[in-house]
Amino acid sequence: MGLLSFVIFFLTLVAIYAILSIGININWGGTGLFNVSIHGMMLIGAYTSAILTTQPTGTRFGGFGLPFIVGILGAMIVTGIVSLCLLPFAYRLKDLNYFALGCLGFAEIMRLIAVQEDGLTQGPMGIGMIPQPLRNLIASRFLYDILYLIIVIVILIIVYFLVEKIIKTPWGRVLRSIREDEKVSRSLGKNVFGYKIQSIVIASMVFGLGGALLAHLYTYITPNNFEPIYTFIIWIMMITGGIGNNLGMIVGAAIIRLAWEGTIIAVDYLPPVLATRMGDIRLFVIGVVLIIVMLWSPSGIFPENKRVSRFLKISNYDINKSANVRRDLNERDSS
Amino acid sequence: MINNFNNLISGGVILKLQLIINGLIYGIIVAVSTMGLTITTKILNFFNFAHGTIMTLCAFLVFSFNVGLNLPIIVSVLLAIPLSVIVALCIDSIIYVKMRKAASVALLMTSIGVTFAMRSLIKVIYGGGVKFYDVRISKGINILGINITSQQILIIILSIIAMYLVHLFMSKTKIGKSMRAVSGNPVLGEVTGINPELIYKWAWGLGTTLAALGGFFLALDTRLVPTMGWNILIPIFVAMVIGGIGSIYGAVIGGLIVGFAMEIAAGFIPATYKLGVAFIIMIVVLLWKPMGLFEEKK
Repeated sequence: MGLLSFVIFFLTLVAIYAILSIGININWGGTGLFNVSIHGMMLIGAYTSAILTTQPTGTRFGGFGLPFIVGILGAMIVTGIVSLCLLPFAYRLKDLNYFALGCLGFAEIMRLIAVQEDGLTQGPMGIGMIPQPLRNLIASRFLYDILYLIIVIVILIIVYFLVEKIIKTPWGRVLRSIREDEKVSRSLGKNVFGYKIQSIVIASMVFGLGGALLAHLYTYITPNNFEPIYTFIIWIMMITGGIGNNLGMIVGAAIIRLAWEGTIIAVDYLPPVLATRMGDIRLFVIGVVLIIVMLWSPSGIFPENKRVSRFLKISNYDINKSANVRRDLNERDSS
Repeated sequence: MINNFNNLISGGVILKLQLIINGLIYGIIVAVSTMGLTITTKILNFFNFAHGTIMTLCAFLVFSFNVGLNLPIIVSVLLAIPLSVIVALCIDSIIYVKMRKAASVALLMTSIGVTFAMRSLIKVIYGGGVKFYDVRISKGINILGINITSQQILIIILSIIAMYLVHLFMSKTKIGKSMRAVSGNPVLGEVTGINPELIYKWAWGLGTTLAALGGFFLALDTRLVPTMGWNILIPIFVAMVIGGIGSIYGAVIGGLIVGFAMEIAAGFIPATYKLGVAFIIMIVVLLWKPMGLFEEKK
């Protein structure tokens, strides 16, 4: 029973992290935006949903006691609106790294606000007693965990198919053209800035959704649940799974979570002094996994399927070859 | 907030001056570390997030020599800085050397991996608790009611010497000139017979030395915690971006601006928002001048 409930908890987290990885895949895999504001967006989503669904308290704003579905939809809407704050960065900063710094700054400010503003978020104490959906239907904790897992998986499937669908539309193709070469898409008359904003808002809504699901899983959130490290862990999941491939996101989330939880098994073989420093050993493992992935397989386990059209049958190999030929030609021209 | 403000009024001028001194110390520590970061960023062409962890590493190595082996603090520093440089060069020759042609984002993510791995190793070895160096706690000198300790005076003097030496190195020596050439135009540098690998090693060496020095100063002024490097990393990045990447003089001025702004703001707003102040400065500067205030003139 103990092991089984651990497996269910693990699968729930994998599904939530897969949703978050699909979100960042819209930004980086889809549009080439180096967005590292994930933890800030997750925080906004989690706190919005918590404030909307908890019972009223006198000590802070809200506690509206609304149903779960309103909570997660509200989280998505609020996150989508707040993400418009990233708009000036996308407009002004052409360099990827500068954009990333701006995003990190924004997300950190969100976290500082959550720490400081007692009246809204109860500061470092955090918000507790977050209700879980349909909790009163099932008395058993174990059976309820399975139900929550099912709810999360259903949401994951919806997000997966929606994102797959929009990536394959002409809209998604424009995003990928921006990723490959922004100037080309601008020369074709596309409003690059507008597309970038849409990409940021949609991805942020997915982050908000993921954050809200985490809040309802933990039932208790503090600003410490949303440290910058979670942004990078989600990035690692995306890189491991394969940038640009949504199926890879789910696999990447599973692998990284497995590396994370696998350290629990290692505890039995460690001397007791080290066993107390579990959290650090986990981070060490994550760091080493990231370095290994970046060194040996930067395109991930499932590389992107660079499909041109369903009428044109060319494989990835051909596309890469033609890209190489084009590069050679360019070099010859310039020399 | 109103309470803080009242305190400030009642404390009067003295408290304001104390804030300026705090800002000067913090700004100078940020400035020294930023000089190192700006050199590696410009020459290796990526944002090295592991810079803060090198600072932590050196601070803890000094702790090992000073408290563990009971060596005097000066000897500990002289041992710890070369050791940190060796660690950085080892990381370079194991990991980064294989990624010279990789995109800057890939290098950035790798450096985050290095950060996680190194920081958790430090935490596993030394534990998460707060530590202090074994130095005489000086009571501090009182000048017009402003408190300044002898360590702080030492930090200021040593930092100014370090800045001057870096300036001399970059403008007078052959290696320094080659570094500036490579950072301006790598292909042209290679054509004129500069070995890029050598320049990369020098950039790591110089950048790490300055980071290590900054880390030691930070630990001397405050205390040792494994997350200290990560916490100061964001002000350092902000200072680098404000100063314009690649300019060592811009780095110093950016560091001082960030240090002053953060410490002085702490007198008016909740201390939690200190980091937010740094970010707001960066956001304003980036939106106003995307290449920084002191973009290098060609």
